[in-house]
Amino acid sequence: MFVQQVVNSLVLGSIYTLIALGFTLIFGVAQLLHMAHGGVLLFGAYIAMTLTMGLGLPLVVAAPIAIVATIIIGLIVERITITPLRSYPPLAILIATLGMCFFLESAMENIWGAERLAFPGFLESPAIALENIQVAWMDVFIFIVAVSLIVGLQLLVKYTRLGKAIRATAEKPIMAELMGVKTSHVLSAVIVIGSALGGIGGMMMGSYYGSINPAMTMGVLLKGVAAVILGGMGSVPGAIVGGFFIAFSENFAVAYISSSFRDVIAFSAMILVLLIRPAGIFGTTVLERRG
Amino acid sequence: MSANLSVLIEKNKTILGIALVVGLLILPLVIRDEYVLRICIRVGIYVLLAVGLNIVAGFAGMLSCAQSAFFGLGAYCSALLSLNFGISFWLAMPISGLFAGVFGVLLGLPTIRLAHFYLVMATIAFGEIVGLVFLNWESLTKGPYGLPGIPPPQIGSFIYLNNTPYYYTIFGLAVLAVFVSWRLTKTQLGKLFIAIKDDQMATEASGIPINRYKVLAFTLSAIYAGVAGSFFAHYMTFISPGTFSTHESIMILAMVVLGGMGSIAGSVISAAVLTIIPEALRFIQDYRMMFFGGIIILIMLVKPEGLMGRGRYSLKKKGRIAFK
Repeated sequence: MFVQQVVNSLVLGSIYTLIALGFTLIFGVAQLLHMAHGGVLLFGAYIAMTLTMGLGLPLVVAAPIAIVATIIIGLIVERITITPLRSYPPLAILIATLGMCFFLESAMENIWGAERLAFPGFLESPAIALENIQVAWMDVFIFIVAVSLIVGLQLLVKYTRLGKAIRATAEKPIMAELMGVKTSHVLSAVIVIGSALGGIGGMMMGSYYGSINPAMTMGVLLKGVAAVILGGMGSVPGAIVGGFFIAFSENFAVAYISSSFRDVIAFSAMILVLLIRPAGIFGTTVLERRG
Repeated sequence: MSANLSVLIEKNKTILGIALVVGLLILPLVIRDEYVLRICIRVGIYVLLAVGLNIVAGFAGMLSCAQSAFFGLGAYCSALLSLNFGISFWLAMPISGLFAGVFGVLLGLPTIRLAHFYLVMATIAFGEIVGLVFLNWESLTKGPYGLPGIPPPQIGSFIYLNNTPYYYTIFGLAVLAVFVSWRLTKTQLGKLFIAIKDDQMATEASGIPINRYKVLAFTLSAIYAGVAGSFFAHYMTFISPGTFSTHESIMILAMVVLGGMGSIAGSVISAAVLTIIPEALRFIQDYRMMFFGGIIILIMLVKPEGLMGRGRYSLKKKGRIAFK
């Protein structure tokens, strides 16, 4: 039982980490209070679902299309609610994206209905069974893909020109601009990468849980933000720590306490971190910690 | 055009206010439609909630997304007091207000030092946890089944049966709430709130212990919500956890932002407008959240200070060269 929970948590943790990475890029690196990111990635998951369940496309074909769609939606949301408000205090973007989050959730509800809809799994059987642990091939696949993406992102941020541009902009936008970095392009790049990662994470989440429904929007947002707050904004290792922490606490709380406590742990942990060390474990970027 | 409108309203505030009050007083005598009265009562409740939130979000500048949680705390407190101890509404209401206020202190104390975004997340988390408690503490709250049979208010032998007595009660409460808020702006305390929002560092540097005032703002707004919750419980005679969600909190925040953060009249007007429009346009019902979301976005793009904001108590455009 214990080992099974560990295995499950490793898979779920990699999914949450992917999602958290999108958040940490956008919130931490681009310093944007993008409350609609959860909605964007869930929308992508819905598109993936429609392509596979509705149109019968195999997941291999549907996934890239859905990722592109998520990127497009992310860019549209950015053009509407973020870019026009950049000269205003960050509060304005916070409120505008909150509105967009509402809008997206309601749109999903109206397009696809409020009930849970089945999300395609893949590589389901046969599951590997070692002793009394069950691991589906799908879970293995998810884990491998997620880890690869995480490593890839870290490499990108550390070693590529784009990565350096992103980091420079995060540290001191004016300086970066003076050094020739086109910050508006960096912003778009962050949105693109963040949305793509989010879309992939959203699809994996759908596969893992087997279903999606619009009400998950808030939950995804809160968990993503909780993971990023825990691990520290703008930090890739932080997103990993945060994502896995949330996954582990969720699974173990459900297994050993009760299913109703699933979300309480994540929220309580987030509040605790906010009180004790708002920067998070690896946090370096100061997102105006103290008012 | 809207700038002229808000100035117009502002200048003729007193007369408009009196006309409004008189008009609303005689309304149930003129309009006998129970449906209309129901909407008016709903507006009254949201006015209480929005004006309350305006104190912490508009005056003091702290975006609390916990208003619905306080609303629920007041509702459950009042309901349980009546159901389990037979306490009448008139006694339960102030107790519930204070009960919610205590939670306002509890939430305020740890979170006041947090900057905008973190404060939003912390209050959302608080709201979610409270909601989860409502849902899962079944021995106390009967969980998802809710609490039915909450007794309506009673004055002597007169029991509140149709909408009219409820209407007058919520009207009285709303007027009281607006009046208290208005008086607040005239007092040093209210001005302190605004000073905190305008420039916290300067206020702090002036030697003012801002923390305790920030907690006070939270407490006051929670009390408003708690009172509203108590009324709500005895009006609906049934409450369940689903009503008191983060979504509701954000919608109330939308009302405050839309009306102009810091403007009491703005909160009242937008509470009324945002409650009546979904009712008036029936087809919007399904798209209610979309409507609210769209309104928020529209307002932020077109007039971020809100309807009644004239830049005094609200979001000011600051030159930022961040992402050009």
